[in-house]
Amino acid sequence: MEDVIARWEKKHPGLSVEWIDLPFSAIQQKLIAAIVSGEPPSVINLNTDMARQLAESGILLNLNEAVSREERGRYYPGFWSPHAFPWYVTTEVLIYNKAIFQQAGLDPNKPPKTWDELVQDAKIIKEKTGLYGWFPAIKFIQELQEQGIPVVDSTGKKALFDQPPAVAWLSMYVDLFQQGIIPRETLDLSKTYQQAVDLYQAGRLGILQTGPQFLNRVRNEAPSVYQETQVAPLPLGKGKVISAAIMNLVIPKNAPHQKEAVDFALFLTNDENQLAFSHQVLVFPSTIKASEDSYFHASTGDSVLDTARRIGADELKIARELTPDLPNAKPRNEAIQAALENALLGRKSPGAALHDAAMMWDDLLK
Amino acid sequence: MKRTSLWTAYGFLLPALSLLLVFTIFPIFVGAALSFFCYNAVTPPVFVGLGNFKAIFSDHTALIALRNSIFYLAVVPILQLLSILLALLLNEEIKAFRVIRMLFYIPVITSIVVVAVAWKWVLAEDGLLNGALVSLHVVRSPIHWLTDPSLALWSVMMVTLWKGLGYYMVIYLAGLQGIDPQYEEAARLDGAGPISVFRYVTFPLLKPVVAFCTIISSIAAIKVFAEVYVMTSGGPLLSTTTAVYYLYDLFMNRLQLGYASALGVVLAIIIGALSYLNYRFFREGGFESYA
Repeated sequence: MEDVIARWEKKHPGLSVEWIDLPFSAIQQKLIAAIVSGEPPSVINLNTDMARQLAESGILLNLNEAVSREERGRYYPGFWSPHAFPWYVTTEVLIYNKAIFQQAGLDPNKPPKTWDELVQDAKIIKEKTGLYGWFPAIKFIQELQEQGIPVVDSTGKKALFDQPPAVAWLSMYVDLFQQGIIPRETLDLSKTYQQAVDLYQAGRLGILQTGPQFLNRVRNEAPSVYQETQVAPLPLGKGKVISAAIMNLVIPKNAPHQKEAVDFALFLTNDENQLAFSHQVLVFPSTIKASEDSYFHASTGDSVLDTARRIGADELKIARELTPDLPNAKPRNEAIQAALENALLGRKSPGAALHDAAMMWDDLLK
Repeated sequence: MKRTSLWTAYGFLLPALSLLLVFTIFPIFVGAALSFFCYNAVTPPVFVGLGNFKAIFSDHTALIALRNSIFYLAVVPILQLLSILLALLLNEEIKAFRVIRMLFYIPVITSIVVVAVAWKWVLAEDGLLNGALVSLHVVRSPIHWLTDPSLALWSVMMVTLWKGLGYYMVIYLAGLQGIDPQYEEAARLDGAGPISVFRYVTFPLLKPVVAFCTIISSIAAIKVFAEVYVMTSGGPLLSTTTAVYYLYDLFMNRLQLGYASALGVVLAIIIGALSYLNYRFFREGGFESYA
C-alpha cells in the first residue's frame, strides 16, 4: 500500500495521503466521530452495508456524476453503485476437511456440487463422525436470490419472501437446526462466520462456507488442518448468481480535496493496482480486465490456494452485490433476523415467521 | 484552614477534577441535552422535545431491554449472599485460605472480555460444561445455555456472578475484620450460637458494607454490557438484550444518537431511584447506630 500511495503522491506534488488502518469493529465509531467533528476523511474503505447506510443519509458524493462513463465501464456492472467505487471482492467457496469426509465414508474428491448434496453430506458427517458437517452463516436475503427466489416485487415496495419457495428454503435450515445437524450457535448471526472458522481450524467442522481469503488464516493458524483442506466452488442455485462481498471506497460530499479524492480512488481501483493487491491477498479485482489476468489461473506452488484462486476468479463472472438497495436496511435486517430466530427455535412456523417479517418490510418500504 | 493551603489543596485536586469534568460531567450534560433531539451524527440535530422519551414506551425492544436489565438485578442478592458466606468461611488466618482467597480474586482482575470468551466456550452446545454433564450422565442431551431464550439471560448472569464474587468477598472480609472481635465474643459468652451471633451482632455491624456492595453491584447489574456483547449479541429473540446493550446498538449501529441518549437518561433515573432505595433500606446499622 505504501508503494501505491508513493506513486500517487509523485503524480500529485503538494498532496500527501495519510493511510489509516482500523479494525472492523472500530471503523464505525471512528467514522462517526470524524463526521461529527466536521473533518471526514477524503476517501473511506467500507463494506457495502456501511456504505449504503451512509449513502442513505445523503452524505456521500454521487459518483455517476463525478466519474466518466468510460471510467465506470472498467468495473463489473454488478458491483458498481452510484455512491461507492467497488474495490476488492470476494465470493464464498466451500473449504472442506478431506479427513472428515473420509471418516464419514464420503469421497474427499467429490465435494458437494448442489445444495441438496451439501445438506446430505452435512447429515452424513454428523451421523457418522459426530462432528458438524456444515455451519452455515445464514444470509437469507442474498441466498434467496442465489436460489432464484424473488425478495421484493418490481416496484421494490412489496416483500415476496413469504412465498412457498422462500418458506421451503427456510424450512431446510429449520429441519437441520432442530435435528442438531447444524450447530445451535447458527442463531447468533453476527458471530457465525467467526465461530465457523474457529470450529474448522479446530478440525471439528467438515465444510466451511466462506471467502477464500480465510484459507491463509487456516494455513497460518492450523497447519495440520490445512494439510487436509481442499476447496470447491459454492454450489450454484437456480438464480445462477453468487453473492459478492465487496469492499468499497466512498467519498463524503464535504471531503477536503474532493477532485483529488476521486482521482485517488480511481487510482487505487485501477487494473494495475487491483491486480497487484490480489497478488498480496486472496481477494479479487472489481475491474473486468484485471480479473481476467492469467495470474488467477496460474500455478504458484500451493495447490489449495491455486484452486481457490481459480474458483474465485470464475465465480466473479456471475457474482453480484445481492444486498438489496432499499431504504431502512437496519430494521429490515432485524425483521429477517427475528424471523430466522423464531423459526429455528420453533416459536413460529417458517411460513408464519416469514409472513410477519414480510409485513414489516412492506411497512418499511412504503 | 489557611487560604494558601486551601489553594494548594485545590491545586492538587485540579488534574483529577478537570479529567472528571471533561470525560464525565461534560458528556453527561451533552447526553442529557441530546436526548431532546433527533440526531444521526450526519445531518444537523432537530429538536423533538419529549418525543424520544415517548418513543421509548412504545418501542417493543426498548421495553424488553429495560425489563431484562431490571431482571438482571436478581444477580445482586445472590451475589451478596454468596460473597458474605464466602467471606465468613475464609475469615481465618490460615495459610491455605490465603491461596483460596487469591483464587477467588483472579476472575476480578481478568478482563471481562476474556472472561466472557472463556465462558462462551464453557457454555457452548458442545462446550466443557455440557461435555461434563453429558458424560457424567447428569443430563441426556446438551443444555442450551446460550441459545435457549428462557435460559440465556440466566447463563450470562452466572458469569457476572462468577466474576464479581471475589471482589465483594474481599470487601466483606475487610468489613468483617473491622468488627471488634469482643462484640461477638460477648455474644458467645451470653450463650448465642453461631447463627445468632451472625444475625444479631455480625450482620448489623456489617450493614454499611452491605449497603455499599449492594448499591455498587446493583448499578453494575443494570449497566451490564460486555458479557452480553461477547456471549450472545443480545439474542436469541432479544432474551439477553439489556438496556445498555440496546443503547449501544442504537448509538453505534443505527446512529439514533438522540434516542439512545434518551434511553440513557431513563436508565440513569432508574439507577438513581434504585440507589436511593438501597440506601434507605440499609441506612441503619453499623457501629454508629448502637453507640
